[in-house]
Amino acid sequence: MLDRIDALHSRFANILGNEHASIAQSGIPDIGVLHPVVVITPSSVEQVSDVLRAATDERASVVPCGNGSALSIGNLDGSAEVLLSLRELNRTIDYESNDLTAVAEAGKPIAALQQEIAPSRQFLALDPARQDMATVGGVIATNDSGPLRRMYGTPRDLTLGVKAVLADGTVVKGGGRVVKTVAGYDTVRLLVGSLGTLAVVVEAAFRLHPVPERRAATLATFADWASARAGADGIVHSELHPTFLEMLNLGDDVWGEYGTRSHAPSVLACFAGTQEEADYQVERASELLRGSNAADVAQYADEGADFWQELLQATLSAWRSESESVVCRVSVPIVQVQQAIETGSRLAAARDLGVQYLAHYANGSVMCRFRLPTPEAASPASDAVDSLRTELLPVGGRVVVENAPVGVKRQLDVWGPPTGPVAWMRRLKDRMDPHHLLNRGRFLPALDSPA
Amino acid sequence: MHGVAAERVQMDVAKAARDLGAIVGAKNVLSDRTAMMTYECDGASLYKSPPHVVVFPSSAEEVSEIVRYANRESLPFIARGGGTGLSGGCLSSRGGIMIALNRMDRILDLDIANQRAVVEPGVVNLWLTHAATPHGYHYAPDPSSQKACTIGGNVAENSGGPHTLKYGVTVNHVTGVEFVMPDGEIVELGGKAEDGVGYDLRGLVTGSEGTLGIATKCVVKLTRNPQAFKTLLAVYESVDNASEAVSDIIGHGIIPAALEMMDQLVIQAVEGAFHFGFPEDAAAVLIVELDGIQAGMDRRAEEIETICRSHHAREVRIARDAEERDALWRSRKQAFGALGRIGTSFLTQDGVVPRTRLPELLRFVGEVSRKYGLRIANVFHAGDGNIHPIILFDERDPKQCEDVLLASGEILARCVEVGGTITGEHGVGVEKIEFMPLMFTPADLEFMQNIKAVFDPEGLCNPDKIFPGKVPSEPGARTDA
Repeated sequence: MLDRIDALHSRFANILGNEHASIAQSGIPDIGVLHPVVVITPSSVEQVSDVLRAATDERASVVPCGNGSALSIGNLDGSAEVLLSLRELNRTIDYESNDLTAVAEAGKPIAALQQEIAPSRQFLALDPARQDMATVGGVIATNDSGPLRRMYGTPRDLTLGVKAVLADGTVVKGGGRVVKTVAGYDTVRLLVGSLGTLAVVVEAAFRLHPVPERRAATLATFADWASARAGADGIVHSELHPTFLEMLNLGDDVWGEYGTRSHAPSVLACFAGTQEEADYQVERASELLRGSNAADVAQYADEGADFWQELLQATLSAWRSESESVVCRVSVPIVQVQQAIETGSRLAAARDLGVQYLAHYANGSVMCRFRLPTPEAASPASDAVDSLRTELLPVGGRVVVENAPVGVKRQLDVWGPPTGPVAWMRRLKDRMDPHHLLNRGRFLPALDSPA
Repeated sequence: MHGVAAERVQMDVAKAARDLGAIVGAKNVLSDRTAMMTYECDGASLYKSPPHVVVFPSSAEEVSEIVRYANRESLPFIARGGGTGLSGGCLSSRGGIMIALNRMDRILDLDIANQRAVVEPGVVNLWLTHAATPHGYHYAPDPSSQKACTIGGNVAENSGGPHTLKYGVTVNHVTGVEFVMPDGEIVELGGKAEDGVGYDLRGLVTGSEGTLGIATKCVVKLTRNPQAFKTLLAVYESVDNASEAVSDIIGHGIIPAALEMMDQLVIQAVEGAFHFGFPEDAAAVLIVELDGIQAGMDRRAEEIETICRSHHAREVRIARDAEERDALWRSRKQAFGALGRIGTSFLTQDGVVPRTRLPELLRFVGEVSRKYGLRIANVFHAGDGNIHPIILFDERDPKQCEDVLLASGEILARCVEVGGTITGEHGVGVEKIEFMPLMFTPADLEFMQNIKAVFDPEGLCNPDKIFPGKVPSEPGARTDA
């Protein structure tokens, strides 16, 4: 093994120079790689192409990576030999403020891109976990989304085009740089959310949005989930257009100090637009929430509303990296959000696990965090995930584990049943990455299992 | 036939009709030559090639059996909905079996609580909106042909429409499809929930122009009707001024629900047909629609009016009431039909450019019109930068038939040059195949064709569309595991 890693290192060092190829003795513990790996940091698309061609030549398995903030996503993969870091591909290629589009390289942190476009009063409406670290390429690989998806959609909706390198080094592009195109297959949608298993995305074009003139939020707490659901549902079926609509129970160490009532089911709705639009909506939403028996309702404007948004972001970011919890993304039709939450609570209680929720209500996307008494308490947690899957499957629900201690991951498939025919997905994988070199073993097990 | 170098398949039509009749019932199969003429083209009427047989299934299982039959007999098969496509996407280039989905026209589930509808592919776009209206909902993608085009066709083409500027195109509104793969297997891609697990095959097949299989059920989002609308009509003496106003509105960070332009030729045709009251002497009009919350809408409309006037709008009118708004949109959406009154045939192009490049692109369209002596009308989704130059010509004049393609090519090449695309919502079909290399390298195209090869190794599912040349052959499967 060590001879092999040394040999790979010298091959990549020949291509990139010694300063761009090194050996990490610690491996990649996040994904279960405990032996040393070669870390390479190409700084151009041509170099990415060259190193992937070499990797194919060597049949070396490759883990593409930005800043590593989403390495917790995916099944454990003990076979990786190369960590392909895209950190040095971090340029903004093009930003036309009047077209509301931007093109950036994969290693660009989302937060850095936001800073560059902020002076034009525009923003990229993506709010992945750990936005300070999350990169363009990482967000595309994971299709990671947060509360803002209610108004703006997920990376699949906001990515206009991509440039990517196939496992054999071929550089390809899909989509375009304009807000609408149907020329050829939508390879953008195929690559977004494919966890880097079909190609390594090196560049992406995004649709941007104007920063709204005013933001306003309302936070209501309820006696039980049924009342909270009725409140959120009232907003969903009203004339209102929330930028986000969260149903949550937090009140833990992060939230407690801001005065939220501990663990009470709550609804947090934010509105944006012209001042009149935002003010009208937050009033009307508060009214609807009071009508659903909210215990208390408070309103916040501009920085006050931003504060809650930042707290949601901080919470989801913390959940992505903590070591004593299992964090799942549950996806259900809207009507089943309450059922998903109550099922999760029942399963957690029976196993002595703590549980919290942060549901993007209108999208039927429930972030669910089981708290383990100790990181070693793997079995109750994986058992809770299994049972939640089994109970939600009949209503079209899916449960994907986004962060869990290695011990839990050893006991389950983090993805669960796919939402399409895995045999056809496998055929695509075989065609695009015939030697199964890209992120082997991390995505759906059937994609890489021996044929 | 233009643009398609495909040989017609040899087939025993009588036998095929009998065999297919055994699947769907004899009365649901057509094969006489006259009937075939109805199915020889879609809205891109320059391209004609009749199928050998048309079959009308009524279930996914029947579609699957037809597809399996076509595979056994090595016959090409092509799905068709309303036949309103504008790129020859359902042209039976080699003849073969046309699978007309018009009998599969039921709204299976109007699930307001989940904001979803489950429909069969032959449901006409506007029917769904009509069904949802009593509940205060609608189906947002609104192609101009929405009275005739089907949801299945919309999914195949990833159709747009005026209001996609704010609401997104078809793919943003599809959460699931039941799909018959090119080998006949029936699969579910997604469902009512939003997040998928695994590769996004639902997103991949949407907009694949019927070349990766056939949707037999579509799960789509329903959108709450806006509380209020405000629709402005800005009148211009020059196309330049109108298109500069468009860039400026977007540049100001205002994204209206719709932002449309019509030039003089279109204004005159539409006015001749519908008598809405458009000023026939104007060089261009913009239709700008705001929708959503009533509060603040007047102020937004004033901002837009100010921008329009700063680009020398001679007049800005506001629709008085819902009736006037409806009449305005009726006129706009039937502009293609109205143009039929002034030319014998027309070819509609569908390029997209960055919105800041609209003014120069429209000037270029004018130059092309003068160069070829062909009249070009413009009616399009200006807010998206999605132009629709409509080139009028006489189909009986072979020189004009050639020139119209040359003129199209020049316009599309310019769209790509300035950073745009050859098609925003109509699809490549057969019509824009030769322009694909303008946008994509051979490697890009091979990447896409590899997808086609995975889904449809026999190449029988709607052949001869989208890609120039042949589907690449199998490169060899995994060897190291």
